[in-house]
Amino acid sequence: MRDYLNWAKDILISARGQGGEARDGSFLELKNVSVSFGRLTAVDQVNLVIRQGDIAAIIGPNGAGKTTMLKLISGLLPLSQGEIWFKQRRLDKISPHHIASLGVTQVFQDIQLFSNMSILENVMVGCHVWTDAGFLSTGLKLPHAKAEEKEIMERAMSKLSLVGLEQKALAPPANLSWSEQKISGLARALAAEPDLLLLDEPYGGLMTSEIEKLSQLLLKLQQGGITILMVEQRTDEALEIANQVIILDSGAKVADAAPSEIQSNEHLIATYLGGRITEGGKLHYAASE
Amino acid sequence: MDLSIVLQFFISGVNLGCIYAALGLGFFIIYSVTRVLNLAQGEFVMLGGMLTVTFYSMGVPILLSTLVAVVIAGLLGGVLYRGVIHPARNLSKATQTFLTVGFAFAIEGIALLIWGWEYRSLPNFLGTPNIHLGGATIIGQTPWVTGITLLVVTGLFFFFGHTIQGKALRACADNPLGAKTIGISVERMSLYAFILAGTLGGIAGAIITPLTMVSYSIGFPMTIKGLLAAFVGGITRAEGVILGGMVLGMAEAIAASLIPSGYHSIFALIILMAVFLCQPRGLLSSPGKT
Repeated sequence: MRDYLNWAKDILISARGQGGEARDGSFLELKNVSVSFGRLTAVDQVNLVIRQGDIAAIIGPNGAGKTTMLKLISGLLPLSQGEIWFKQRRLDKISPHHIASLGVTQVFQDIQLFSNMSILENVMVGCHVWTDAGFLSTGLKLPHAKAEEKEIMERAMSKLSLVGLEQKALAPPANLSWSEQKISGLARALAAEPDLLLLDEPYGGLMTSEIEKLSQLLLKLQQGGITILMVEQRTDEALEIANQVIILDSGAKVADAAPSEIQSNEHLIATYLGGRITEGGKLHYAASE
Repeated sequence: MDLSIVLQFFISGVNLGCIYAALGLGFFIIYSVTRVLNLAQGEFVMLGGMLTVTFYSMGVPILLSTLVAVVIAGLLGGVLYRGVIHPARNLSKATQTFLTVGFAFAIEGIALLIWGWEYRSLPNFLGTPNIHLGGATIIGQTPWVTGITLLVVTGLFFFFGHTIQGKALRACADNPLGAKTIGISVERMSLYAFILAGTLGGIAGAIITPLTMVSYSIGFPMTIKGLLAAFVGGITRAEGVILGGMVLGMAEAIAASLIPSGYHSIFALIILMAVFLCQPRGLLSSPGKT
């Protein structure tokens, strides 16, 4: 009974905010968010607003709390303090699958594809969040469920076409290259028809040509109305496509500005990104020397 | 050896294999999604049989009796998840597995109170007569057991392979974290897995009762048979579990001709040990999965 009460409470909280409080216009808002693991504070009193339709990039040194931030938003980690709001609904009190059903999906750094399914099936299962047909009607192949299965197949194929992987639809994930697996993970997330896409190091492990293609795809998704919040180690590439850049260090937000402002701030680059600005105005990192 | 005897063993082996495969699939479904070994699986078999007998004795037609019994067994699977496993979800999988033993004892005790210790039986479905084929005798219920099991297994493969809910169950079994972030409720899928396993157990119980009879105490031996099928074939793959069931069924049928009836189960355990020595994860288990 208590589980049902908690579940009902989740629904109420997410529907109207705690205590009925409504939030103003922001798309995603983190208010004073902190999380600690024992004595370690991984995210420290972060306030953040992401606007609808933007590409926002969280950058910073290793261990800055970037991935932890994404996990907090997608509900995979509980907050120690603070609130997270998405489209005027409070996220930090509800379960990850419910957050996904509100339009927030995450693509992991290590992809997490379902290894026992083909790529097409992986993307199809991404559609589960918007399906109506229940367990029984699906099992009994009732007309409504049958029509929905057809739509799922079509929509999954269209997502694979969008990312250019329709030729690999029937292959198992193990037969795909790393970059193809990454793109498949993205297609699966897109099948959920998200409003907000959380990407954990989307460029990680990709070659230059693949990075270029992925950047084009992300810009295309942005034009299609999807808001993107990415965590990225490859600062140059992130700055190139982002509208908003957030720098984290030791769990705290040290900058939140447009890419041009970040790129022109030598102190930020030298202190938090381990680089400097060259005479040509380009970023240069010590690690690349 | 006389061909008719070989045929008799074969039919008997396939029949037993079907039953063990159905029992093993119940373990497979729950284990895949929740990583819990449901040691109350045999109780669903017992309930499937007992409830069918009860409804039939009240004058309900046998197929309708079976249907109602199977639905109740399935719902009881849901009760096991909601009432026992879900509240203990933060405890270890070993603890959750032990809790299913407690549930099994509770069901067995209640069954003893309701039905007593007597064995009960049913006539063959729709009064199907025994069939004589090439010198072998096929008991009239055998085609029902084989046919219904094949139908159920085919249905399960279709469900898991071609429906979104089946794929969602497979996703939870493969990668619960990935499943959560694309909007699949792992808890709901776990509930469905228990209902499905209860339903499978109920079907097995109803269809074998005309062959083996049923009492309150058959749950535990059925649990052991299902576990053996699942482990011999490899609990991480449905095909493995079916193969495991068939291997066990055939082995028991052959053993029936070679050794006294009381030692059949020892034969099954010898097979289990032999498989574990050669293929510790089972005959067809997925590499890297336990």
